[in-house]
Amino acid sequence: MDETTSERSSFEARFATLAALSYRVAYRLAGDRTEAEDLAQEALARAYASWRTVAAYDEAWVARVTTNLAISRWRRHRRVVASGDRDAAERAEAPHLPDPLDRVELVAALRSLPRRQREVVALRYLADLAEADVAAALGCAAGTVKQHAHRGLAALRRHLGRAGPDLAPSRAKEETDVRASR
Amino acid sequence: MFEHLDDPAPPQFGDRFRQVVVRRAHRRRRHRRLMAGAGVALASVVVGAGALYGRAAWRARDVARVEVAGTGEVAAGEPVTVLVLGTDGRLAAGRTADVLMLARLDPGAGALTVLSLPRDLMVDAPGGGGPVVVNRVGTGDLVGVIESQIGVPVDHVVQVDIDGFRSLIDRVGGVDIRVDAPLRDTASGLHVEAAGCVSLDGEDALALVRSRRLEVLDDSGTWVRDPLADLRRIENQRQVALAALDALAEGGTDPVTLNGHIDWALDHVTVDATLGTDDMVRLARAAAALDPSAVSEASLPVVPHPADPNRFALDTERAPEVLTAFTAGRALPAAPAIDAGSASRPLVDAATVAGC
Repeated sequence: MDETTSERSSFEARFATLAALSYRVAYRLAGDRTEAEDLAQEALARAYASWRTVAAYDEAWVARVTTNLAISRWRRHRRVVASGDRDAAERAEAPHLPDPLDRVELVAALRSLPRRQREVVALRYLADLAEADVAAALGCAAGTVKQHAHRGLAALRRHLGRAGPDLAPSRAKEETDVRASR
Repeated sequence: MFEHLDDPAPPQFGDRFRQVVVRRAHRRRRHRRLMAGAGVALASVVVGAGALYGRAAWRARDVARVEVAGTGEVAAGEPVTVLVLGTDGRLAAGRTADVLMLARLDPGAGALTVLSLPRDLMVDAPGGGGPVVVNRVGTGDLVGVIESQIGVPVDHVVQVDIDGFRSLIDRVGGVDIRVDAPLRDTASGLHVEAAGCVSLDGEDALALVRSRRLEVLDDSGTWVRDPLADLRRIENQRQVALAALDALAEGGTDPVTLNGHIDWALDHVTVDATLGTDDMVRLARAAAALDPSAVSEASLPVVPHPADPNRFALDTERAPEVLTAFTAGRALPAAPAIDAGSASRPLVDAATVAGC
């Protein structure tokens, strides 16, 4: 379980690429520098801790973990907002200030996708990986990736399009619903 | 396609960034090693627990046993009627009992029925002698007397000595009961200052179940002797026993607790020779799984004995209904032990029955 010298040098060699990739994915979802850096650090730390198994598909692995981390962190923030703690809510909202609604909707839309579709969309479009790399990382055929990407994008568009005209009210309603369901 | 969401000026991922990554990775590995260690520890605990359970079952074989005529084995899953006795010391063939309760446990229905017998009940002495108080009948003959003269078939006998009763209640952290009014008994040392839900430790519970001169604080603030005397006592005994059963069930049957209970049983419990270890485990499991609302309880209906007003005789009018219900496993009719008007209302209830 301990790191070896070759493991370390192999990770070092990939560090810059993976950090940039993870940061890009994280920023697209979180929209905040501090938050995106923190997500990227966490994803890279996890990659490094399991480097031996990750190395073969490092980019896809890091992109997937970053997406999942961002989504689960967003879920926690949303819970803080819903619980009515105003200070914490403001802190949670702050990261999304530049264009919060786009991102909130994007994360919500991603969350609504089936796992496989979400992974393909994240790797293909958030991490901008090539179809063949995604297929290799997920262990499926290129055709399957294409299909998932197509359906995932369509679902994403439907979700974003429908929520488009009145984003704010629909969000407010969602939060009320969350509160009511407690 | 999401370029519009990109950071226009992404940061450099320098040494500070890298240090955080490496530090977190190391923490993760350490954590994973710890978790692996915890997994091994957990596995040993599980194996150890299995061994403890095995040991518990093995040691339960050493519970003291006594030959009692009329007892016999009951098939698994069938209703079991147990004569529960409380005595001042260890049960022996000739010893007499202070507390007598019949408990019918129906594992299939998950139901428990408890019927208290007054110790001053007069019965015909076994072997054709004259009338005798039931608690003077030796244990070896007791089942025969109850079966033939009261008409309830008994399968097994379980006896607990009085020290055991006290230590059991302390073991389970006290019993929760509800009292109808402040109670005291200067002879037994009982003092419950306020009506309502109270928790009694072993000593207090013992003072309550031993109390034969119970006094109740009435509405005008004076202590009034409870007229029911021993009939009140057996009622209170039953409620405390039920409360103790609740506390026991709440304590669970993890191996450490179970072994503690077995230690206790080895010191304080005697069973009839036909009650096997498997039966004990089955009874304990069924008792632990009881729903308090599935417990039905009453005292045997009696009348003052014609020859001695301080003793009792079976109430031939009211008792048959109660005894038939008990034997059939139906809920017992709510009949007081003796028809004493408003004085018959219960003073003490097990907390779960009373809804504390």
